Amino acid sequence: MDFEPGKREAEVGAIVEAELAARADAANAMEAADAGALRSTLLDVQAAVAGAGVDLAGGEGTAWAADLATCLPLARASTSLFLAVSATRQCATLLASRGLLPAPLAAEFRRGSVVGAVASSEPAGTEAPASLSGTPWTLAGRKSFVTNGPIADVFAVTARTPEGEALCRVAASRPGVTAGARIATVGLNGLAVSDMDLSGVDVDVDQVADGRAEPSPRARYALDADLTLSFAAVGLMQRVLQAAKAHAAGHKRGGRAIAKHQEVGFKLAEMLTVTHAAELLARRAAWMVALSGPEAATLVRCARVFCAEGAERVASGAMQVAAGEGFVAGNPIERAWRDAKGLAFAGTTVEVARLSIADGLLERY
Amino acid sequence: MLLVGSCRPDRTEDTMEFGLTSEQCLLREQVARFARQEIVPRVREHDLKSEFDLESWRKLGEYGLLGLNLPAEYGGGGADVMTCIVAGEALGLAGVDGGLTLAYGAHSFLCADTILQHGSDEQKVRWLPKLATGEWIGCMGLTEPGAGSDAASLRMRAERVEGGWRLNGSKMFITNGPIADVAVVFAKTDPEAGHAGISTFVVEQGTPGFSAGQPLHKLGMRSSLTSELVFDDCVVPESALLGYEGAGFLVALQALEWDRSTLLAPALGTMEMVIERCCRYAKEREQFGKKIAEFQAIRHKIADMKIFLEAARSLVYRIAWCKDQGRPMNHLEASVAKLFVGDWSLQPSNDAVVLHGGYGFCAEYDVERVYRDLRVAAIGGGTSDIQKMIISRLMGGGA
Repeated sequence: MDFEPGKREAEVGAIVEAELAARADAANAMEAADAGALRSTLLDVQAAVAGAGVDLAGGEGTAWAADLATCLPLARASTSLFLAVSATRQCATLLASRGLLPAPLAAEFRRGSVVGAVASSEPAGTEAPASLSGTPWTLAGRKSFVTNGPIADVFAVTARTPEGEALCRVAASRPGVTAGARIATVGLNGLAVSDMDLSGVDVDVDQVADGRAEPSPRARYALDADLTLSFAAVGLMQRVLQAAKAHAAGHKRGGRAIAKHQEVGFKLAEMLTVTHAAELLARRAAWMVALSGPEAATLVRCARVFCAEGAERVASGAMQVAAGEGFVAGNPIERAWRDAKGLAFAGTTVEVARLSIADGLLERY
Repeated sequence: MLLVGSCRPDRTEDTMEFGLTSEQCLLREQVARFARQEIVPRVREHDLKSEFDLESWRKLGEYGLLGLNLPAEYGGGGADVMTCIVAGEALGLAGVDGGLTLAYGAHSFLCADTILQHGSDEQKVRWLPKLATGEWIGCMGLTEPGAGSDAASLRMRAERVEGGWRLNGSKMFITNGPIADVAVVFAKTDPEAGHAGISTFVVEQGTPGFSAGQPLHKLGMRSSLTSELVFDDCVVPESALLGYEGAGFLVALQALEWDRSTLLAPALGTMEMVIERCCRYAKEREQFGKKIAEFQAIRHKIADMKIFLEAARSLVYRIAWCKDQGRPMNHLEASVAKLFVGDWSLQPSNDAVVLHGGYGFCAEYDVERVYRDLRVAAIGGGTSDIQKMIISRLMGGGA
């Protein structure tokens, strides 16, 4: 047992700090940026993170899970950037898991010079899911809420085949691939998310993986996405707690800092407790995934729920501490408060995650 | 990380690592098996009667648990804190009640470990071997009728007399108080010196002027006996002073870390046991023509129990690890673990009772006992408010 954070984590932290420090008001600028500017920022950060030794091609097996902890400083700096970088890494990891990541492309991912995206979700009520048919394969359908959708170079797309769910690698430049405009959202505004149309996209045989292998691409991606979202939530909590603490130390009432009033000091103590619990749970889940431990999926779901709900709780507490100042648009607390909501239903919703946890327990006992 | 079948000593590169050793995994299995066979059959009876289970106590001693944390030279097992946590979890998992595990914790950690950490060789030789076997029962007295976590407000006095010290005052809510053979107690030796005026003494039962009150009737932890300790012109020899004069506050702080670490471990195992009970019940009980396990609301409750357990486990393991690194003070980690277990255990233990419906309100299903026992987690060893005060001070607030 060892509760010391890894050394590379500190290195990533220093690099991320330097990268973002070079951009004035980076977080707010990202919220207002167009897709081109977002892509440029993302490529810079990816290159910096890759330079710190984080393998954006996913590494061997489940090594990606350990790298999530290494990237926690990025999550602390910017939820959106962390999710965007993770989407690239998730695309590469998913493709690699099915032998769809050729060496030259893997090398590009490792340099951070390519933006990836996973297209898995489909619009609610879809009667005809994205599917592959014919010989050679033709891909058709519609995907929704694709992170990095408008700025990606390459997509990992899940699609139906007669044998089951397949995975295919699709270049953004492929005829028939159309990423929609960025979706306007309440939070996570530094993230480029869009729907995606696939109209008669020709896919080469070597860009499609068998639909019969287990776990399905969707299940594999869900585990990755849920763990990633857990770390995003932890980073958000750490950031917002720091902001609330700083506000409480500097803002005075009755002649003394509000942090010295129990109503504020105790709230900060509760926020810190939840943040610590969330961080350790996410790290433990990542450790278990990296080792392919027997309860990895359950632990990831536990982290998913606790971290997402913890982020909402801590962000809300921080806004209460910062009061009007925290309510002003552009304040990091206000932004985190909006971002936290998105983390509660992205990936597996906390409700579905709970059902999944219970299913596992009911099966065991 | 402690999940059945998942004990992995592997070390992943350059990141936190949560595995138990294979020895710890084996210990967990052995302790749980031992407890199920030798202790659990008497648990309900003693809880209902609010009686201390001396037979189980002796068995815990024979098995080596009461001295697990003590060095072999004093008859102990020489285990580190993490291993003690594993043993505590195993007792809870097996179904041992909170009363007995609390008695064990107060004896082994608050009393014996304090003597181990601060005692002279003579003091260790005198008391530890008997505590390691359970032949003697130990307790620790810090809280007073008018002073709990505010140690600086202690009123119990220790005055120098020829050849020793005269103790006057009383202690309150002392686990094992009515049955203890030896007590570690704190008293003011210099009332003007604040924290630096507190010293620690070890007092043996039978010392003239030392007596224990009647056991208190409690909501939970009923098989652990709790009482007042009274010191009325109780004269103890110089050799009763533990550590140096004026060091009592630091000794108390270190002792309280046990309250906020190892003593929490049985609650983890207990919650794991409760989850299993709830799952089994939910798969048997039918309402509206189907098993209640099929209702989403029930499954969400079960999931929340598991989420609490895993979040709490990480925090308790962290404080154990901190102590095993030899760090003398780990206030933040200890208070965070204590606050979380204390406050967040209330909902899942309540849910377990509700999930069982009317049966949950009856002793036969044990969940009501767990509900009562866990209630003290937010009270003993410093209430949740005290933990928040400590945390906020460490954050720079000082509320």
